Amino acid sequence: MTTAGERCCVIAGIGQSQIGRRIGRSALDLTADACLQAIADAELTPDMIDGLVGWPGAIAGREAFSGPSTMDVQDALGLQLSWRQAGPEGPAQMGAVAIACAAIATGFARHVLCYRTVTEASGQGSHGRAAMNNSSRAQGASARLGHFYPYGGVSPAHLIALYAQRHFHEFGTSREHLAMVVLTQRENAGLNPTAIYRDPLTRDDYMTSRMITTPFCLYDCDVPADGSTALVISNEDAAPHSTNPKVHVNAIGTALKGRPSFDQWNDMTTWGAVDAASHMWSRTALTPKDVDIAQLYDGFSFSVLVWLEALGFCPRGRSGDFLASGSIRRDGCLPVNTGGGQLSAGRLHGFGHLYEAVMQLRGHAEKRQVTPHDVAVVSMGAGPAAGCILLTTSAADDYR
Amino acid sequence: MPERVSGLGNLYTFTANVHRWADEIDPQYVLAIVSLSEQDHLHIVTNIVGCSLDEVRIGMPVEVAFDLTDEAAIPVFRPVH
Repeated sequence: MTTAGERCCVIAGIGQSQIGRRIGRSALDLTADACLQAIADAELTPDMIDGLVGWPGAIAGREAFSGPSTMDVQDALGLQLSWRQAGPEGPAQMGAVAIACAAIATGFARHVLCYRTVTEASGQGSHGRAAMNNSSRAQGASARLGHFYPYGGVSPAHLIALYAQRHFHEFGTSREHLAMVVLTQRENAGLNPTAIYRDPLTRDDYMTSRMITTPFCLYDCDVPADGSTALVISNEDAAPHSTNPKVHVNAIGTALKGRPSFDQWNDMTTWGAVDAASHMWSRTALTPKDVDIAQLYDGFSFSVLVWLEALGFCPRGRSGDFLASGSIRRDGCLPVNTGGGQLSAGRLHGFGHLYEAVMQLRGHAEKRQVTPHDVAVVSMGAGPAAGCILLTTSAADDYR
Repeated sequence: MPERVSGLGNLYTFTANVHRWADEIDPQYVLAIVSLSEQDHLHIVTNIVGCSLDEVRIGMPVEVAFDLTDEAAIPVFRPVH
């Protein structure tokens, strides 16, 4: 087993801004709220923060997706940094956490503030989701997807639906299975006061809702939101003895092995998630059986199926059966997306999952607290780019 | 180096669009990935044309056709009967 350098890191503080649809506040304003809250939560002060990492960094013309530049955040908070970094080309949004931990493990920084901010609900304005998805054929989420546009492949929904349909074909997966994800997460959201959609949803509501692109209906797609999430990741030795329990980083998976392409991916029933997950498990003595809680990326309901299989919670192709048995419910063998996830709580682009994992591991999740809550996995990414992290309440030495 | 291909393949996966994403895009289309006959895992993003949605099946043999626009000839695929 590789020595996992990330194991010297703890999540010492977490913060989250107001979350909602079209809040009408600037991304920098929301980010400052989340960051100051995370610093206070860690019982640190801004002058003690020496690292800052964002994802993906400012992207001109896509500000509602990208959030503010790390430079603007540094300036707004008056931070004096020895490490600052942002960039979108790593293992999905988990790249921000991985690079923060790398900076700590190498001694470049001791306390790294790490944030992700979106204002996609406001950014859509009255134009709907298409405004975020670059339906213009001339410009895209990335020029790397430009060859989808002439064919009407204008949304992430199309990219992921192509994978879902292939999974349906090979393994008999169905909309009933996707519904299990959607309905379970909505139940969880009902217990989360900050979730955007908390009203109960029935199977009929799901089955009769309007289709977006087969096999996805409206409820299979996550909910664009405004909001910011921040973490303080600290070197365990430097972290103050604070009131809140520290959450230990046990292992991170960052592997990117397949071709970096949505359409040239060899096996379109799965994603780069497989490589990220096996990389993570190669860096720890823990196994899937040890995981109490999973916060799995859910840009679409189908994303959860891919991650369940990739992380080894069920065999390849059998996520449908796993879901049908109720395994991911709060009282199941593996509670998943306990705060409602992006499908109900809002699309905080993976960082909502980190926040919820820390709340659960600390035992601070109130009505939605699950037990036991000693080991959590968090995953991010879709298609070829993916990353995942294993978090624990005890120091890694206990798991050797 | 680029090599000429036959224009034959099989439908690897698809999604039938329903939502109207933009005024200028007719929402009824089938976005697809065709696996070309020449090489495993050599995929092309395309549309399936020339058949009803009911006839679209993963695995079905397809052949290239060209959608001629003012700017370009866009390769699309239709079933081989």
